[in-house]
Amino acid sequence: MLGFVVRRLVASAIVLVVSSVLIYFTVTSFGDPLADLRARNPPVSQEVIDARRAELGLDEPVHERYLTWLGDVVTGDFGEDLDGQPVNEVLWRRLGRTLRMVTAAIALSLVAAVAVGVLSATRQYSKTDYFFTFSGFLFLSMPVFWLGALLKEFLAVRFNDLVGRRIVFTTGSESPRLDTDVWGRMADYAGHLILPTLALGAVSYAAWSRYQRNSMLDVMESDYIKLARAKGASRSRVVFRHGLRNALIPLTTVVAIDFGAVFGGAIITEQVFGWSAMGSLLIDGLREYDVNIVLAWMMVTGAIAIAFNLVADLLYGVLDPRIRQ
Amino acid sequence: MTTHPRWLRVLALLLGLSLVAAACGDDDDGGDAAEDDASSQDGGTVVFASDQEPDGWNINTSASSSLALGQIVELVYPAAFRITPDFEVVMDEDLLTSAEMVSEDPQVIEYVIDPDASWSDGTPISADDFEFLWTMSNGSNPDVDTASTVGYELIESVEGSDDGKTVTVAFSSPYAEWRSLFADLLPAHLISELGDGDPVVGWNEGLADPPEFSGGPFRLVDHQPEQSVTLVPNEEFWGEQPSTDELVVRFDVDNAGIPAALENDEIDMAYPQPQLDLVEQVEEIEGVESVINFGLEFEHLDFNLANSHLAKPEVREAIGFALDREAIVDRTVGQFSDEASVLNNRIFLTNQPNHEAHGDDYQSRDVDGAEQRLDEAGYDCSAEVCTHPEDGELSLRLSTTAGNQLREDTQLIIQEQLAEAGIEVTIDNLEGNAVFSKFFPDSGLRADQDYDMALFAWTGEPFPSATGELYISPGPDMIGLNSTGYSNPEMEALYDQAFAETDSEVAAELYNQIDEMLWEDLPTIPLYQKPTFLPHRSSIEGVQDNATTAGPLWNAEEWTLAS
Repeated sequence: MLGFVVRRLVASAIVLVVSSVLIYFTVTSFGDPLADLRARNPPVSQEVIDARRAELGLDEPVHERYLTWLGDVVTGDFGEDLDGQPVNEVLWRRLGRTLRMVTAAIALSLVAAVAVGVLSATRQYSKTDYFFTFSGFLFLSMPVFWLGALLKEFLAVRFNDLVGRRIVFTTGSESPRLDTDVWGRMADYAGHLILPTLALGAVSYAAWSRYQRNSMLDVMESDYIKLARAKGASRSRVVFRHGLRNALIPLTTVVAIDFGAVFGGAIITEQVFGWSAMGSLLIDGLREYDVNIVLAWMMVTGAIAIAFNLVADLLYGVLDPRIRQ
Repeated sequence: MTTHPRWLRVLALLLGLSLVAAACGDDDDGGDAAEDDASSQDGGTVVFASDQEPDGWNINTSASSSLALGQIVELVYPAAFRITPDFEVVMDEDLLTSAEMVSEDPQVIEYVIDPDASWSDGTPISADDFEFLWTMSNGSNPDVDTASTVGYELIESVEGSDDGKTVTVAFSSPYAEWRSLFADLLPAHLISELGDGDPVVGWNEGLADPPEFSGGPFRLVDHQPEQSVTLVPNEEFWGEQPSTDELVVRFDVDNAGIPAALENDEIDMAYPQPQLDLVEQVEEIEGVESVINFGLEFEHLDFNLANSHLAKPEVREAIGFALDREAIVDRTVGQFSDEASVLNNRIFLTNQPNHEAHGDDYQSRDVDGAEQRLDEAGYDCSAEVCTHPEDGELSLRLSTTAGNQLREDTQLIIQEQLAEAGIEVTIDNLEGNAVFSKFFPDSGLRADQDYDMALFAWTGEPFPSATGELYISPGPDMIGLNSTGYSNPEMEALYDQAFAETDSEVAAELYNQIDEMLWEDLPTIPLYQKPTFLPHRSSIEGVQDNATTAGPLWNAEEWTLAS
């Protein structure tokens, strides 16, 4: 097991380095980080542009710049962005926001998916089952920006009107000038989290609930469930203790693998709800050809995807003893 | 049933923990500005959604200079002159009691500073601060990052008298637009302090975070990176105090999210690039009014004169004839407002006092005229695309910023219109600012340009001399900001004359002559001014759009809130 983990980690490190090389060279060869400065009006003099070039080290050959960057990253330093600000600071701040949204969305969609999956499976072909099947496909096919607009109108503006208080927010990850105790902060954060969580979680919920329904159906038809029933175990005991526990195993790995996808998918949700998090970091970084920003995003996102894939593999073994043998 | 809630509990706990962690962890975000314990009071707060966060706070450096920053710090940094919504340049009566040209040759300006004017730390605003801005901006020290040396490089001396309250500025050669100088003054003594005694370091790096000092009606208090910055009244301001308690500028509102945020009371005003559906949605919101105006940015079509087709004046004229600029306006910015119009002057925009419409030959579309011009230049237009015996098919690339709806629409209309005159246009766009590297390549050399026709915007200026860089040739191989490669010694002589002309009416006449000359040679064709859009809650009284560089917050100290 330990050998497996070590082998995987080494392979992952190689993958990360190779992709960082590719991205470094792509970003630096396609874009001019000084384009913005050049297009200024009133104009900026050539001396200023030359000075900025030197300051950013753009005069050095690309491979040397890459090696300097790699040397720093190994020590945990992602360098400076084009404005000379340390990348680490902005990276961790934004990562925190994205993780907040992604964790909440995954938790919510996981709970809903399991509940709906079990309900649909135990009442297969009932009206409830059809309703959830239909709604699942609806969420699967709905673009986030459209769902976002609906949520803002109905769950924020109208809901707040109805209760006469502003509980649900439509933009940003928190209110400006938030100056309250921890509880006030939490309420404010939760109010800002509701809509993005629902929008981001909708697609995973839809996919996972289908998955859970099928896995539950498979399990419920297996011999040991029939045996449990024949023994005279209560229905709820059969469903939850014997059925659900086993039916959760495939979903666990799917969720772990999907974590990376949800993290990446958050880019659009962040945009729709004005969250300045990892998504806009990448977009701005690409727009300005800020190679250190783009790479920091890539390294963190890549590391998260790799880590959760590893977790998925390990979990499978932990949850299902047969795999280990 | 005792087993299944366990994982539920774990999930709930995780979710709760992530919230708590976030709530506690973000505590250290706000530490960079002055601590301000006044908790936000409702009723006195105005929240403005800005689409760009400043990336530094010294507006006088090239690294930080931006329109968005200028629109915030004009409430904090004192300036000798301000620009009103009708493009007039007026003395800031809070800072100065007079500013006069006391001698024309040599040009000497005398500024008298209000005796009460002082920085928020109590130090009087004085000639030292004028001198400091000049020394940093005159380009004499290559280590200083300067946004623009224009004007400052012509100053010979800045001297203080009267306890520093009278500033005498002498120029080495006449500079007509002296009123553009000494905007965004900084406290010399505090900037040196920020650089640990070195003013250059303080200037270049000291204002990475919002300054605590102020010399205007507001001061900056609470910067939450990527989210917001807050302005509160500067209690030490000697002029009239603002009546709002707080002005919050938010950076976390997506343009498309503005209507919902307005409706949900999360913001009170915004200044987005207008899009038709955005304007329509905002108009439906109760208690919100909006103003549509035509601002300083204007779109124009540029010709790369190095292209063998476009080097021929007949081809450029043919394009001018084949374009129906009226139709372009109707189908783009005309959708926002009936007041949208074709722009016929590159130097003075329609809302500027010295505006004159030129380009009489190109007021209505003339496809036959276009074909005739091409015929004169030796093109054979019997096929769908005209062909030149030496230069081949008249097929030109048109480049603009991909993703900019307004520009992409304009581009398609141009393509369609030119096709009717036998001119083939292919689209060659790049995302965002990347496209500018085609017009202004890294090397700054003409040979490295990679475009035929360009569509982008210049920001007009209340001070027309700035347009010089766009049309004067910096040398045969160099681009500078003259992306077309146009060069005309006669016009350049007129610019020199206008730069030095201190009588602004005579100067305006010269600038209008320059524009007429540009219509004659046609290196560029101006299209239209871009609309500005300022939705704001009706309860904020005194909001007025200032479509110049000053922006919507220009008179924020005068706003009052109706309860």
